[in-house]
Amino acid sequence: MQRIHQGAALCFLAFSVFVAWEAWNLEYYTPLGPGPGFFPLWLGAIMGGLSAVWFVQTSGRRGRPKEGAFLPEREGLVRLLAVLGTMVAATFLMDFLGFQLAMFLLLLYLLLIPGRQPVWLTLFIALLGSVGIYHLFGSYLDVQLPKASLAFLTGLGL
Amino acid sequence: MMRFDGCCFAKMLVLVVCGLALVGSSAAGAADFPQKGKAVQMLVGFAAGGTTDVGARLMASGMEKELGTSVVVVNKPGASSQIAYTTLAQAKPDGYTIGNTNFPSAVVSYLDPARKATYTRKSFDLLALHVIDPGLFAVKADSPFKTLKDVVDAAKANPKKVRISTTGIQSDEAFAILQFQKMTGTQFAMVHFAQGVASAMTAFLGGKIDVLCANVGDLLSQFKSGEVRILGIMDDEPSLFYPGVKTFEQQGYKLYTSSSRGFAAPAGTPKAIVDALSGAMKRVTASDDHKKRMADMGLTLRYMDPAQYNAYWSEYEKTLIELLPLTKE
Amino acid sequence: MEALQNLLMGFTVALAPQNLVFAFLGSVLGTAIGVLPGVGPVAGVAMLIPLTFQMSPTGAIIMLTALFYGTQYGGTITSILLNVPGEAASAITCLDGYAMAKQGRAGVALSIAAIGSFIGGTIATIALVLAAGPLTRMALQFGPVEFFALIVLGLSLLMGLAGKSMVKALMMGILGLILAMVGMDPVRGLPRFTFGRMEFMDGIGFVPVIMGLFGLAEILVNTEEKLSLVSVAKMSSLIPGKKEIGDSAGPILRGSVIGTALGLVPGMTGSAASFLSYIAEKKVSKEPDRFGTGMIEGVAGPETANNAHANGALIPLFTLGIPASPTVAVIMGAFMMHGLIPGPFLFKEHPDVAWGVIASFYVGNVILLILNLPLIGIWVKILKIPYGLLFAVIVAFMMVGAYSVSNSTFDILVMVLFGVIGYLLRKLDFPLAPIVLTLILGPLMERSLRTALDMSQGSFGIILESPIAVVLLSLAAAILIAPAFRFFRKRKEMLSGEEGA
Repeated sequence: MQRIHQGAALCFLAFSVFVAWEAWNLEYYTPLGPGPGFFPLWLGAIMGGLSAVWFVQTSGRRGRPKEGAFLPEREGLVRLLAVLGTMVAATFLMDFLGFQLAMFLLLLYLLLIPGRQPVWLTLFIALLGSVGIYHLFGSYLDVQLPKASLAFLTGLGL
Repeated sequence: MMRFDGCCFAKMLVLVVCGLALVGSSAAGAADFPQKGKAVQMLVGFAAGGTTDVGARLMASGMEKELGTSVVVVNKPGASSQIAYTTLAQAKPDGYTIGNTNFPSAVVSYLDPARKATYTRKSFDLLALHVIDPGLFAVKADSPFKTLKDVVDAAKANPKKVRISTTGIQSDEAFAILQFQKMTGTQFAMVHFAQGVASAMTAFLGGKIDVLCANVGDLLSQFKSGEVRILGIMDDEPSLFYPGVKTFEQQGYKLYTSSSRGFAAPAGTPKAIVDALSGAMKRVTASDDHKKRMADMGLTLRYMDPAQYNAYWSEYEKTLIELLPLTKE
Repeated sequence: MEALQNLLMGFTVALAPQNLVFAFLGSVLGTAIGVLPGVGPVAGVAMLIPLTFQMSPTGAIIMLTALFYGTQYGGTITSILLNVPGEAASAITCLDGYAMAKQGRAGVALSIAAIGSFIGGTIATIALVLAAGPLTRMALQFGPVEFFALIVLGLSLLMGLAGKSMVKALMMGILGLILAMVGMDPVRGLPRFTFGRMEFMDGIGFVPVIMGLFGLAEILVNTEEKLSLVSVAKMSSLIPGKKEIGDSAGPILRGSVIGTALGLVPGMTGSAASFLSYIAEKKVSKEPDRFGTGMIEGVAGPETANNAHANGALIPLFTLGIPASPTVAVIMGAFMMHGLIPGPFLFKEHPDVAWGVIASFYVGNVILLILNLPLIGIWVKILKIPYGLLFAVIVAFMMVGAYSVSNSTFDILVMVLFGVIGYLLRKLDFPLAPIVLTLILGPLMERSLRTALDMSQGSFGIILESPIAVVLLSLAAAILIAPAFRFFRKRKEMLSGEEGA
């Protein structure tokens, strides 16, 4: 656990170096006051300082974080990554398959596998959440959810 | 050798056939444009509810009647409309995707290299100019400035001391002031209110700003209640919203700047479809209902056909090329 | 007296049957739109405008304004029940509202939020009737310099959000400020930290970020266990007890004042109002450490403040004709579409419209209260849905919400990214509230400083010329220095104590 906190502190430190480096390439001061690089540079520097303090704190004996697993056990981790992966995949698929099909597949997977819902309920919710939402948002909320870009799907009205 | 030629020939044949097919299909597409039940998408680079969006929606509902198919406004806000312009430039040029083009954002975005736009002027086939919102200078009713000349004299006597508002470094107000400075040899303290005209107006009414540079549509209430005096309007004719107010031109300053809004299709849209769309727009702008609605909103309707709009765009582009470096100083 | 007479006349307009129906319709739609994340009040009002063309101007505007403040009621519901903020202004309610739901007090939280919203909206409207003139003159004192000082004061309150570790709270505050730097910089118009993405040019979207940090992170934490075993929340009483009502009275009053005051200042958003109210409550509370664990004060204050802000933001519209927030700008558009120009002149030209609309604010708030209290019983039933089903629905709901902010799938990816970041930060025991605060105020800080310096052509002396700014900045300095003093004194005592021993 302590190692993870130290690692996180180093990640923050790296992030602050990146911010400061980007800011360095921007103008620091202009005749009319702080330039584009002024605030990011200082923020990066302060972030770096704080990360260092935190690193020291977690490394010391007193600041040792409470023990406990950081990451869930294997099964939980797989589930977590699966949910995230499905969301990302559905987002990318939306532009090709259209919202209705992508969302239907997402709900189908989430409800059946991690959610362990009965098949009939899954199908009902998935249809409602994809086709239903698409038409609700399109006709009443003026939000045009993505349409399919593949020709044969567009033909089907997706 | 023979095989190579054969392959080449086959490829050419395919190309020719494809080309013919394309021409055929686009000609057919143009003839029956728009198809019944196929919606035209109108991209707007601002969130729903702004004046650009409202004007576009009024145009869309008018076009629906003219074209006999639905015209759907799709808001793609972000990056001062650059996202919407990029989407428009990349859309299929079949007339079913058109978009709003605003000055100065449509022009600035591809002229400013920092914006890394992937489109240029050539990416759009212009359809019509719809609205212009001319710029104006206003002062509070108790201000010592009575005419534009008073403002110029004050700015000459105290360079960089007279405070004048804009709504951002690349806003139409900023370009108007830069042009005015060049024309009169003056220098103002330009104060950029990136949060929008409401913040500028509050600062102005609170006496923190000497001159408010805004658009015609912004001051209807304040003009009516007599809180502000409008010194001049940057148009070639007086505004119907402010009777009795002179133009810049009438006071000897040839300044014509506005934030204007028109419509364009992606480049390569067949001529017949462009004509169908721009004809529909022309008929909408000529209708009394549309005229009244636009006037109620404080929007100055000004229709231009594609040729006039093209000429206007070229002229505007030339002005901005001159002014853009000044914003970076 | 004249104002009261006029108001009575307004009530006869607002209570006319057809206008009552419009207020009711607006309230229902507003609540519904508030529940949907992504689709906010601006889009909601804009969508409805074309439908009102055929209506009388008064009826149309009554309906649209009711929709506007109705969204503030609805935004709370998902924040409390699901940790998904329905509106940006309700983000902060997630902290204590969701914690209360977990303890089975969702009904109580929702009731107090509805009552607070009602009182906040009503007090702001009373201010509009009785003191619009003086309040407006006060608001006009707030130029760019004073606005900047106000933002700095708001940012200095960051220290007040620190929990166990000051360093961690500061790190999160700075992280929020760095995120706020993303986009076109206000000085040169150069893209900054945009990684070449156009979508970042206007900055990172606030709604996708908070939906990720709160809503998605919560789901990710829950997926660690078998979903059938997760129970989101228990359910007990719906009605707040005596103690809860007593504890909420102060926050509701303070929230009303904070919300109304910030509503007057153009550029200040409802989310800033609710956030500052939350911090104020934490400051005055006797048990600041318990905030975030389900304190009713953390729901009552912010939820009141965002409603007071919604109604308060309408004051400059009536007195100056200036729209103080994006939604009010849309409402101004609605006025104009019906041939009316909002501003002081409206009271002379169309007193029936002006006073009718103002009276309808009272009516609308009463309708919303009557509408929302019985609905609470239905809303909390959501928590009875098995989590295996509910989580998938929330995921779909958030994806649609993130998309509809600017009709772009990019925002869904931003939300997923910040879901992962929120998950990791929670695991590392970082407080999330400071990021939200700095993300709200950060973009305003740099811009308002720049505007202030534009006025003086680069001289910082302009700040000293404004008495208001000096007072605000001194306050900020005192807030920043006080904890440091306390820290050193404690250490001194500790040292002297050790020496004595």
